[in-house]
Amino acid sequence: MPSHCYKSWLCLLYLGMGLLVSCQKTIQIDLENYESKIVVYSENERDSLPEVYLSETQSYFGYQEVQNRYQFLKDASVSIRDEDGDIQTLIPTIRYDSIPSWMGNERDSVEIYYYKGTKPLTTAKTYKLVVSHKNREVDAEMQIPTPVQIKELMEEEISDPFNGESYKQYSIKFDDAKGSKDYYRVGVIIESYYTNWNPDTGDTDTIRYFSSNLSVVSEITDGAELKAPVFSIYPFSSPQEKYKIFIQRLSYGLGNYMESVNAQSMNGSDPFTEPTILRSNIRNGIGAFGGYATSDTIYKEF
Amino acid sequence: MNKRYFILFIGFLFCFGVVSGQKNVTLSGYVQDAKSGEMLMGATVALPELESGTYTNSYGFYSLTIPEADSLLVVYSYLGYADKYLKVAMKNSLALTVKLDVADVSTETVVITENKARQNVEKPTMGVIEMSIEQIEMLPYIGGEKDLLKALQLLPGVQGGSEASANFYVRGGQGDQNLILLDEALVYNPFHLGGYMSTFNTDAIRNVTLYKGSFPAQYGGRLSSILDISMKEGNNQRWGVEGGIGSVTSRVLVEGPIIKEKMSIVISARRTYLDLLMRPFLPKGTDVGYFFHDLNGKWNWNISKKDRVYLSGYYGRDKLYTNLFTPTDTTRFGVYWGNKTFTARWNHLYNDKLFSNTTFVYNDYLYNNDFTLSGFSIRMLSGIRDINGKIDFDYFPNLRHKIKFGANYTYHTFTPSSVKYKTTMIDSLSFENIQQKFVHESALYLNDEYIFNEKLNMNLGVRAPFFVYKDTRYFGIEPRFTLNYIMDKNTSIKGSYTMMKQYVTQISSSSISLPFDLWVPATDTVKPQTAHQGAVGLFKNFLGDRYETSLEFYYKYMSNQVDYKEGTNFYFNSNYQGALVFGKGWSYGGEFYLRKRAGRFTGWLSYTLAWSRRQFDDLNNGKPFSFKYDRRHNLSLVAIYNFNKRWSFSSVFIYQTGSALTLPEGRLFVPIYGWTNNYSWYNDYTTKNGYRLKAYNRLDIGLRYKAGKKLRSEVHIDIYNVYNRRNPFFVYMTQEKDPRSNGTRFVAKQISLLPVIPSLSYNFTF
Repeated sequence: MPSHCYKSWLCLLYLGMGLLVSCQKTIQIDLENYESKIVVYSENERDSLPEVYLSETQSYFGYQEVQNRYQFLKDASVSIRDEDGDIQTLIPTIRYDSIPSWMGNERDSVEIYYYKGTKPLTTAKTYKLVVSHKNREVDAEMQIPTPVQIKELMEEEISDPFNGESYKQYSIKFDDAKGSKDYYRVGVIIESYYTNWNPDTGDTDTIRYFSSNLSVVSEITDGAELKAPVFSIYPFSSPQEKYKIFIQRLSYGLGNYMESVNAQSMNGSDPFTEPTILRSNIRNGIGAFGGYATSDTIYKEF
Repeated sequence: MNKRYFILFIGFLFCFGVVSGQKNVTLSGYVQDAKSGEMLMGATVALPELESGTYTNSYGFYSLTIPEADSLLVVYSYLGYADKYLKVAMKNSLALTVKLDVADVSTETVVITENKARQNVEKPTMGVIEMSIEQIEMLPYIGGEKDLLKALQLLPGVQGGSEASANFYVRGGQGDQNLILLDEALVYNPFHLGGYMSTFNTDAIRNVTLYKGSFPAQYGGRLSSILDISMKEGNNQRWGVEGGIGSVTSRVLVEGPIIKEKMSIVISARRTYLDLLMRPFLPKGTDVGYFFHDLNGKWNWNISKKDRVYLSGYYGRDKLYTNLFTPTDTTRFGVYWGNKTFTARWNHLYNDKLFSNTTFVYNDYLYNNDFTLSGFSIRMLSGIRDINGKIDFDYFPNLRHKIKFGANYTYHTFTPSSVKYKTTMIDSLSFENIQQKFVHESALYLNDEYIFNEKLNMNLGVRAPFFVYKDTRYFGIEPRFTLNYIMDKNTSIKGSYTMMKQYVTQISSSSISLPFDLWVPATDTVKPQTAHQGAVGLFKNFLGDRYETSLEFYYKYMSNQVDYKEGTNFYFNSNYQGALVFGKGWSYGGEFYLRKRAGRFTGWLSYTLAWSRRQFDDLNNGKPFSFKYDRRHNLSLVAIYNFNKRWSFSSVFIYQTGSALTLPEGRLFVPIYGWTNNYSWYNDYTTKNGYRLKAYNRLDIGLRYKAGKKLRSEVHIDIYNVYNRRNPFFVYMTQEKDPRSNGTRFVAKQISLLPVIPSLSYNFTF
């Protein structure tokens, strides 16, 4: 049982002591006429057609009804201009995504509105996104990075200090790109030979599992060889699996935004954590316009 | 470049010493309290005929080198004491120890002499406030307790943190930027009860001096303030006992002469009884409690006219425990923390112009907790221990110079965190071995208080700290000066500049002071914090020095400030260095202070208009933001009225702008992490600390009744927060459901801590 649990417990104890003699009341927060912001979410793979998802923020203290969740902006004008002056206008598109049950079981799928480009984005070019919606306009710039390659998949035997048992941890090694502060994420796709019977179709499916890990690399380690853990194999887990491993190098604005989103998601409800302000590269708005480049995939089979 | 200035500065001081040195006689000695024999620090020794004078040092010593005279009038004065006028023949050097009697402050007949209360105008110091224990004792008690650190929060430029907290913030600085010294020993955690009470038992304290700027060169190591607390020496005339019974603590002090006028001792103790009061209300099989206790002691021996030795110490402990008993098992949880300090000092008078103090200090702060459940146990400890040696010299070459110089060395041992687990399944296992950090910190300093003429004087100092931790070495030159232009006998204008460096940082992500907040040394990554502070001020006394006023403006720039990366949970993050971000801060403002010092009615008005900002590349999207305790307005009004020798009334009113808070203004629904089709809500906080809690205001009143002669009793009836103001402690968000639309909505809930609290306490002295 780690020590920080006790620290948290102690904090709660203090808080409890305070609350014993305290009182609470609902107060009105004076937010002067909250104006919603355009939210841009656009992460683009190298040499792929750009996609831009647009929505807008809502007042924090307004009623949050189920139908308010998916407030995609459908009537915006979206264009991307490259440094040569070529402009492509993105086309409104609809996709249907399933919704996990925990998000509300009011419906099985949702219409996702987004804007899709006509020309792929390539590395080493600076792209400027301009979004106009009614009388609002936001813009952002980014460059799609060049990929880094996995040098080696390492296997290490780790001893669990709690139960004394050991497990195998796999990590990849790669060289950080020089001269920039970079974010990377590691993707692992597990293809298991186990099958699962699907009652709807009567067929058996191959189970796929997809995981990711976002890591930040500071300037201190600029250009250094880095190691990132990717998965672990425990004695009780099945060896009949195939792992596909790759690494993605993210543009700075995208990685920076994702890191803040992740931090807010992890600690948002923790009273002992300072709130995380989303780090956006969208001028006058919020969100991220960025790109990524994927390494070659390596495989590990058991 | 810096070294060149340093050499020039030393040359300047000694040139003045030599050039202005004359064949004169010296009047030197000590100023003491007649009743207790305690040395009086900062007492004025005036020579009206020469329009000159001096004041006593921290050990009550003074020295005046003057032209020989057949007869010379010397006036000794100290606030709250009756003046003493002496005619002395100054044909030869003379050693003269003077005893002053306490004045009757309950009537208007007390004469405020010209000499007594003009140090605020005449001395080349700024941002310095001395607070007497008598002043603190006259204030309304909070929950039956008097508290030194809470009293300081009533001064200009000083403010408290959250409701009822004893932690204080000076001129926009962090809480860990205050150097708190108890008899020269550094107190790392000066709080009990989660920061709601200070560790200082006021019964055992003699003097309190707070420096907010214009720091004398003998002090260093913190950016924002120096709080120098001296313990009582003990009455060397007669034995006495004093004590008190309050609603939270009870305390007792015993003092007296071991050898009359030669050797005295004082011992005081204090303990809470929350645990004892709670016990009858606890369910069977449960033992939960909290208590703290303090022990202060001091012994001094006046060996000869030239030598004096002091030994003093403090021991304080907090204990929070939970024991749950079931027929089959016992769960135990205990948290213990506290400070230990020990100071040994030797005063030596080489001659009537050179006084020295050699000090050895040991101080130790330790936090540990234990948890036991079903054969599993865990123990965690962290702390910091210092061994410090220093020597300080006071040299009084002539009337123009008052030179102070010295050196100090501290050996720090940091134990950031050590955890041990033990289970019945496997042997004792240490996850993290004790990784102590050993740090050397030393400094040389030189300070001269120089009088150019009757209109102009200055304080010029330089401090050279040197810090070593493994291969990391930092060396600095910290220049300081204060210039004082005396416009007339009641008015002066002052200006000052101070540079300070801080080599240790407290890692804390919480707004309340918690005992396990770690102190860590500077490293290659965590660079020393630096502050440059400039101030100008107007100082004026009115109506025969009955009223003292000051108006000061300051600007402080702080570099290498430390904060946490947004979203970092400190309590789940053992790699603290990876979670830190670095930036800069600046604060500025104006402070007004008006104090009535004598008469039936005394008190003060303190108003501060201040701004405190921070900027970090990795916080708030790199934009500047308000410091959490950036309060625009801070007003304190203290009024004390002595009806007669028995009855007195006091009141304190406080108004402060609400503290800054980060609140979400909007919400957005975006894909989680960008990998899946799952969407989730996120908050748009817009600006860090961009929202203000409601203003804080409160009125406390107290009525005091004194009785008896041999057994003197004092009864205090106090009311905290008279009009039951629900001041905000913190705000949290919670969701409410709308039954009509089935939608939900966030609402803000404010927690208020302390309502109106009446209290009764009893003090006695015999």
